[in-house]
Amino acid sequence: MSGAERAGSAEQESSSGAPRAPEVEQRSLSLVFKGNARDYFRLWIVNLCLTLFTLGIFSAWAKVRRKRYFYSHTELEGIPFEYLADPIPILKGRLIGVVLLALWYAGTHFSGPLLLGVVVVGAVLAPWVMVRSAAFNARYSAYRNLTFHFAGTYRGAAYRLLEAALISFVTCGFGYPWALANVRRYFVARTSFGGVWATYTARGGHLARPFYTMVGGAMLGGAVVGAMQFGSARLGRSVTPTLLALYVLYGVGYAYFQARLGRLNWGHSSLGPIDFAADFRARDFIWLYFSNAVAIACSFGLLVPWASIRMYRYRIARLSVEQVGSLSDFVGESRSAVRATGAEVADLFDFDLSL
Amino acid sequence: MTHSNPTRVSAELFDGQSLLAQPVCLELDGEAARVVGAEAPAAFALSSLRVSPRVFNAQRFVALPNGWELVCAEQPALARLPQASSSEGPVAWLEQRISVAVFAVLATIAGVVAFYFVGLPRLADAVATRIPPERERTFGEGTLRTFDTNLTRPTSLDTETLRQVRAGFDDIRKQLTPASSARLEVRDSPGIGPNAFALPGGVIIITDQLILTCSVDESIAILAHELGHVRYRHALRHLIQESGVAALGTLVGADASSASLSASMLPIVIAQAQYSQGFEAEADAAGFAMLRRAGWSPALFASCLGKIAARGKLGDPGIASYASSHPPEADRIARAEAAARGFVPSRPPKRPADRVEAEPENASAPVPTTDHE
Ligand SMILES: [Zn+2]
Repeated sequence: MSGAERAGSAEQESSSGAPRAPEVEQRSLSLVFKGNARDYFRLWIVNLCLTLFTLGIFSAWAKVRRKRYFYSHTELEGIPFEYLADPIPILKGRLIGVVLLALWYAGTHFSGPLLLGVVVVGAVLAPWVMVRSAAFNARYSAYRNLTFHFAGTYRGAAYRLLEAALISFVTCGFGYPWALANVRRYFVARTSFGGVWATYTARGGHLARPFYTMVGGAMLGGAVVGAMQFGSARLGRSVTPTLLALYVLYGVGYAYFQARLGRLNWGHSSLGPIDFAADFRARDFIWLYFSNAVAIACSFGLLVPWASIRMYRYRIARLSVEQVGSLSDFVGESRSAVRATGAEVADLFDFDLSL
Repeated sequence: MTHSNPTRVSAELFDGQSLLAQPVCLELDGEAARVVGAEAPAAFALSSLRVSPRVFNAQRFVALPNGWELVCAEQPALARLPQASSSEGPVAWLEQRISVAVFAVLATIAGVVAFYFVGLPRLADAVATRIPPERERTFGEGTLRTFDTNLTRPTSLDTETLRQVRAGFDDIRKQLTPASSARLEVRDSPGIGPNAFALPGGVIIITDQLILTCSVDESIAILAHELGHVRYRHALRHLIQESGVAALGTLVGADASSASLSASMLPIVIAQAQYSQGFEAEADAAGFAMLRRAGWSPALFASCLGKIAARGKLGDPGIASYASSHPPEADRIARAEAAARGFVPSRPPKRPADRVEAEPENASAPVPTTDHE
């Protein structure tokens, strides 16, 4: 395996003793995932069990353990990534999330003015939740003793989201790629590592092709399935095959778009002297999603960890990191301050809502 | 040397200023920790170090009080350092053990099964009794609106047939204990086919197609079954249990990507169908009892079920019906016949022109849906 070979050479390199020369101008950095499904299953089942028997409270710890597992087993140039978050802010985020979900559920089922209120509050809160979660994840992600940082603001995110909603609405959804690119650019460009800001160069035009391909395919497939459904309804036959066909159609479209989108997103992202490229293939994604889905359904969920590892390993194996300039651009911000105040920063507004 | 041998841990040092790694050695000597090999050697109190929680055999991080960080291989010596997280240590310890994993698998399965078969039904009952009937009715009206905008049209049956169905429905409804303001809605829906639904709050929908596939009297037996659902507030309890199962599924599947997650919904659909089967049996029993008290024979239910089965599909509450929400027809028919054994019906009353009864008994010839438009 080329990945393993690369890992091997990287280990020799990193254990060669002297600090690596910063003068190297262009080369591939080794990125390896060292986790395995057997270990991860044990981590997953223990945490799931504790989560169930604490009625979900433990899920915050489970999340930290899960993130820590993937970070610690992902090594770039022989050094793993580090996840620094504390479970308590995550627990807070989840409690807020549960309250919002309950309100949403009550709103949709009782209808009336409550739903309107929930929608308005949700729209007002959405940018705030996104900004706080991005900031949280950046602050508690570290590599080689330097942390990431997210500098987005509520006002900026709200403006981008409103703009995206308007673009999508006015164009009846056909402007979605441009909306998506704008939002993504905002979030990537306000992320920094070691004082270096990330850039995102994809425009709506780049995302448009996969998006329209997916929409066109879905419409075509939907028409075929619709005709099938119409025929079977008239004959009084079961609609199960139709539902199954719709499900497969949805899965294929989703997998295709995810693969293409991932490829474009990584290909158009860079971090100062670091360039990324993701060679995701749609057919691989379709196969992975469907085989994972079948495995999970047939094992009543017990193969969820295996599926997660498989997907993650594929992504890492197909992601390449190129160094095209000097790494001395990266300098420490105030890493030690984060360390010291990590617990204190966890005030009411420091929470994470992302899965 | 008078010192005992210090424990040596080889590590890479990151000073928090640049990405450069410096190979160093961490010497643990009693209560002291020294970093040897860095540009400037440094000594710290052992108690001021923090080691990151163990994650199997992945490399670990040691934070030093001056902002430096060491990355080193997992090794027993690290157990001597103060842990950065007090709560994660025990979890990491549990994760290491295969026996714990085996126990966790069994406990999780047992917990899920207990929650599913005991906890959730009880929870649903408790929640259902706390939801006032008016609230429940608003659920039902909302669902009825959804039906009317997407699936159904106003009935196209003649007024005499409708009158007979309504009269029979009222007959059975009087038998309900506690008394209910259940309401009958007749709708035309070639798409749904012959079917009846009990919505939350006692709104009952029956399709023209069912009344025409069976007879008026047989439809009344089906309505008795639906009133059985109303009697036990099945629609509401189903809604609550569905939410519970979905929440549980989210908890288990939180890890899988969303596409795979929708696959893990498959067991959930099956799980929910399982609930429906219990409800159906309960509604059947209540329906038979009400039919007998009102003077109707449960045999009507058996013959109607037979006709629908011959025609194709009987679904009851929405999507779940595709995963066989109803107990096997043969069983239900047998139970209905058992309930009718030895019973002398006083109903239906003699009717002047029974046009539905005039239809050929051989219902296996499918009724073309276009006939009723
Ligand atoms: Zn039923």
